[in-house]
Amino acid sequence: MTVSPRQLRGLGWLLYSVALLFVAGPMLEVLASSYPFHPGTPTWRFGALGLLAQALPVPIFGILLAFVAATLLEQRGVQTTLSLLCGLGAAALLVVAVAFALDTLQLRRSVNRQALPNFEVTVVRADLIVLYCAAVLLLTAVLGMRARPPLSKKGRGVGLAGAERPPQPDSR
Amino acid sequence: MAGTPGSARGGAWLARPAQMVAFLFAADTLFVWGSHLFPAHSDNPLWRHMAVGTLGQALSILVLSLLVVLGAAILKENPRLVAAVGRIGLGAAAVLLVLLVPFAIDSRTLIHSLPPEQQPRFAWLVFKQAAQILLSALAFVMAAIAARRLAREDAAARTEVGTPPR
Repeated sequence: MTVSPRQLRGLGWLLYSVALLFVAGPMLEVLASSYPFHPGTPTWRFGALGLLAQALPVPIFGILLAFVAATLLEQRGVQTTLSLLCGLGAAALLVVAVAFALDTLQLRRSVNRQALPNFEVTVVRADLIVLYCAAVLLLTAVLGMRARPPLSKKGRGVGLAGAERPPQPDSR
Repeated sequence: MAGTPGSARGGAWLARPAQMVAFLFAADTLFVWGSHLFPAHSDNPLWRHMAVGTLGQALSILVLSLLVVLGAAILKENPRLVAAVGRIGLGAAAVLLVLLVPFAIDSRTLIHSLPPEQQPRFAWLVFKQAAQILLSALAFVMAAIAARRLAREDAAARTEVGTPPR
């Protein structure tokens, strides 16, 4: 089955829209659930970061879909931007993990003894997810930067690509 | 795989992050499912029923994870991983089908212990969960068939060309 550049472009934009859905949906959900914002309160931070940790895997999957679209469409600029965003996201998640751990230490004293095992399991799970997602984002940023399509002077090719471009004259 | 188009190979770097995300999806889903079942009361029909029923809700994520791993294996041109996905898919489908038997027996036991006005609601819940499990088993089998076919075609192509599998 051959895929025309037009079909490929359509597929790419479809993937971008699905990626946007996957990234924006859970993030809006976290924002809505943690509204009104009280970043100065440890309890609020703890709750918000816990919600963020639960929601993180889906947006990261969405970012990978956006990378697939950028790779299919050979969009070097988009791939660079996504890689930089992934790097920033990884750094932000590391900060979040540290903040979450510190808030946990502060709140742990106010948790009653019976609820402590559940509290600890929840905290460890959330922190592990955040750290794991930071590692995934960092790896994606590094690999994405390395695998950027080369700069081409003559227009932008459309992915899957080589097969659909006009045949090159034989240089021999 | 042997016949992967050039552009798909250009995206092969995505395979590793995709596999990591698939692992996260699967591990977190199984962890949440397992934590709801703790402490275990395997001799209690209500607990057994709940265990299998809640697994049904988690299965779509597990199927998606397996498909992502399959896609990543194709991108990486890794026939061994493709074959492993096939085996995992078949194994998962077999486990689900086996789990349906105690689920049906426990549902039968539990529905008779409920007051008559609650029975239709419970029956509908059981039907929904059983359908989720059956459809997930079907999806696992389809993934396994696709993976086995890909692995076989790849092996045939390599035999023709004479390249050993990676």
